[in-house]
Amino acid sequence: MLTAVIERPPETSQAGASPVADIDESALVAAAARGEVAAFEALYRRHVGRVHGVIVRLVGGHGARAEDLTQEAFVRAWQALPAFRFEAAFSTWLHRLAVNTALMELRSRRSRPQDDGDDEALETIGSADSAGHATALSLDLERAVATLPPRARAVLVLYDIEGWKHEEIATELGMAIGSSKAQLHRARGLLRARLGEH
Amino acid sequence: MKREIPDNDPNAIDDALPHALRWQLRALRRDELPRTDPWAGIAARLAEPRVAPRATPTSRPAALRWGVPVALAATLALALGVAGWWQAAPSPVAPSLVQQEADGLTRQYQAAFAEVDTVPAATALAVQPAFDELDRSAQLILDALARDPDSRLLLEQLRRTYSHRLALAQRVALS
Repeated sequence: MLTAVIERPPETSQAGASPVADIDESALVAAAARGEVAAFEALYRRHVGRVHGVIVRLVGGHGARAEDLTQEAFVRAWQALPAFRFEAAFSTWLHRLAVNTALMELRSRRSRPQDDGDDEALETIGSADSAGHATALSLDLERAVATLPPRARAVLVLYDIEGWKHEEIATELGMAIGSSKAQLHRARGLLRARLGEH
Repeated sequence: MKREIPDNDPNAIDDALPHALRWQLRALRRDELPRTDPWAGIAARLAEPRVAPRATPTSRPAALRWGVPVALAATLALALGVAGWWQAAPSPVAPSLVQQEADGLTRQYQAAFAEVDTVPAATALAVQPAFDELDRSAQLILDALARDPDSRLLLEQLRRTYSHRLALAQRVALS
């Protein structure tokens, strides 16, 4: 039994040498699909950083909301695992599921009056005090992305950070490909404005 | 209105981003750990019975999505005319508790929408995009619930979406 092999899952997916690092991921996936929680926890430990990372970027920040969505994504993954057919890498499948979970939440929030800021109501963040320091620039950029309107941010994150194609984004967001391009155009414009470019 | 860029114009966007900024954006793709480990919450939910996977997610054709309030009201009127709508005929596959709640919620709110959706034509024109968007969001959540029928998160999102749609309809009706 796989559970006998997994003595203790690593603390985090970023911990470097992990006790389960040598276990074939497909074996873990198969065991988790059969209902072995220890195997699923091992997968969780491996991938939680990546899953939470993309969710944080999509929702525009850390906090309870992102953590709830991370939890939801893994629960959905557990539910869907028996149907996983190894047609794609598990990490790819999980990543897409995480994106889908976050976007579902964004779509819902987008319809809320207080999120009407999707359009023009967003304030510019403090103009970057970016005197060429890489760390400061990175933080400024991260913050600038986080303050984009939700829909524009989602498209920019998926295209410019995650490397998705417009076709994939359009499908996932339920929009036309042209709309995805338009949102990206808008997001980039807002981003550059917030970063103080002209 | 939002501008759409033609699908056959791939360079329209890509030229807009400086190289340096493009790489800086790519560099943001990094792992982030939750501040509090959500595993305990996940593990607690793994005890729930697994649900058979549903059909591959697909978005419905626009024509099948909720449309204008007129169509919505007509559908609702029909639904309301059926006695005992609250308890639909038993289906061969019993819906989950969350799905039953979602169905009940949908019917309750649809009935409420029908009562407040009588809006003067000029006003209706102005608010129609907002209604369409809310209806579309609700439908997307319902689609997601069909695939993930035990998600309380989705149920809560559905409740919020309906609530906002109703609030908007009430505001419009009173204006």
